Amino acid sequence: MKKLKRIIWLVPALFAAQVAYGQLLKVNQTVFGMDCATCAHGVQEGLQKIPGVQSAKISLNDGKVMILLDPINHITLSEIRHDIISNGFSPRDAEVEMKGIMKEINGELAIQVQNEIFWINPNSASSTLDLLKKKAYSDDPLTVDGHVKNISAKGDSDIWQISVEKEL
Amino acid sequence: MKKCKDKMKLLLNTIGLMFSFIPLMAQQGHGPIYALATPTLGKGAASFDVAAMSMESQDQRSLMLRYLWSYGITQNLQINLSTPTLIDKIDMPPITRGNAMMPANGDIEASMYYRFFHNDFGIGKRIESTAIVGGALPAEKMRDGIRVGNSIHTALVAGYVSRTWYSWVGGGYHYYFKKDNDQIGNLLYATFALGYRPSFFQQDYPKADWRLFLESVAEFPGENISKGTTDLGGRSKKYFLGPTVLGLYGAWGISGGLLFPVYQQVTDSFEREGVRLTIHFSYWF
Repeated sequence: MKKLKRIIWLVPALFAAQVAYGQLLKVNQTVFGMDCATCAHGVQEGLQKIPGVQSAKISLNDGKVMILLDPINHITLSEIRHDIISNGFSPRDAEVEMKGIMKEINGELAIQVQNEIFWINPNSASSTLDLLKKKAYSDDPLTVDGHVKNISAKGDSDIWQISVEKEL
Repeated sequence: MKKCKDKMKLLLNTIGLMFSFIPLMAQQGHGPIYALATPTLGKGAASFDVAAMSMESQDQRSLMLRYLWSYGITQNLQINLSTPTLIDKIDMPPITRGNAMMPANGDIEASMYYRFFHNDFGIGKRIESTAIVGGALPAEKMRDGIRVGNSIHTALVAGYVSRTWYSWVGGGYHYYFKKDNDQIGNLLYATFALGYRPSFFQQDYPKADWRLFLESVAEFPGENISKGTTDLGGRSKKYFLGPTVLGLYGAWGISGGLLFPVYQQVTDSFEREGVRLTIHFSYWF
C-alpha cells in the first residue's frame, strides 16, 4: 500500500518536473543540401519515428523542415538536427516555439528547455531583454518564439543562441 | 530481323513482369543510370533496386535482370550487393560496367561507397565526392570463351547537386584476376552526367519529382588473355551518349534511358555495339 502511495505521488511530481524543464513545441528547421523527393521522404520518415513528433512537413523549394511536437515531449533540438545529419544533410538556423525556464547564468540570460540551454542573443531589443530578465527570477515557465542560430559551421553543436521575437 | 523482334518482345515482357512484382520488390536510382554519381543512403536506411539491362552486338541482343541491395552504415558509408539473372546472352559480350552501380555481366558484386567529402552550401545545393571500391565473384564459368576470374573495381566521382542542375564526373577501373591461364581484359572508363529539373518539375514534396539526364560514358577495355596469350590489339575505344529520365515519388523511384554509341574503335576480339537500354526500379526502406 505504501508503495502504491509513493507511485501516486511520483506521477504528478514527474509531470511537474517535465513542465518545469519545458518543451520544444514547433521547429521550422532550415536544411541545406536536400534536393530530391526521396531525400525529403527519408528525413520525414526519420523524424516521424521520434516519439513526441506530431507531424513533420518538408518543403524542398524552401529548404525547410516544419515539425509540430506533442505538448508534452522530451525532444531536444540536438536530436532533431542529428536525425537530419544522419540522413546526409546540414541543418542550419531554426525558428522555434518553445516553453522553458528563464535563467541568468554568470550574468548571461538563457532559456533552459529539457537539458538544453538557449543563450539569449545579447543584441536583442533592450525591452525584450528587460522582460526576460524579470522572468529569470521566476520559476514559472515561459513560452517564446525565436530564431535559433547555428553556432557551429558543421551544424552539430549543442549550444544555441536564440533571438527571442516574442513571448507568447 | 525476326530474332531481333523476338528479343524486343522478351524485353517488353520482362519489363511487364517487373511491374507486376513492384509491390514485392523495392528500389534503386538516385541519379543517372550509366554514369557514376555521389549520393549515398542515410544512416540505417536501406534500398532495393531491380534493373532490366539490355545490350546489343552486331546481330544479337542481351537481356539481364540485376538486383541491388544497399544499406547505409552511416550517412557517408554505404554497402551494396548486386546479383544477376542472365536471361539472354550475346556470344562476344563487351567488357563494360554497363550500369554505374551494377555491372552488366554475370558477376556477383559487393561494393562500398564512401562519400569522403560533402559541403551543403545552400537550399538544395551541395558538392560532394565519393569513392567506390568493390569485388566480384563470377556467376558464370566462361565468358566469350575465356574463363572468368574474380575481379575488383574502384572508382572516384565528384559532383554538384541543386534543385535545378546536377553534374557528376567520374572514372573507374575494373580488373579481372587470372583464372587458370585465362584473364578477362581490364576496363578503364570515365563518365559524365548532366541533369536538369525544369521549373515545371520543381513541384514541392510530396509531389512526384522528375529530372532529365544527358549521360556519357567513355570506355577503354583491354584485351582478353586466352591460354596465356593475347591478340595484342591494344585497348578498344568506345564513346556512348544518351538521355535518361528519373522519377521519384515517396519511397519509389523509376528511371530509364538509352545510350547510343557515338564512336567505336574496337579490336578484332570484340564486336561493335548497338544501343544500350536500361529500365530501373528503386525502393527505399
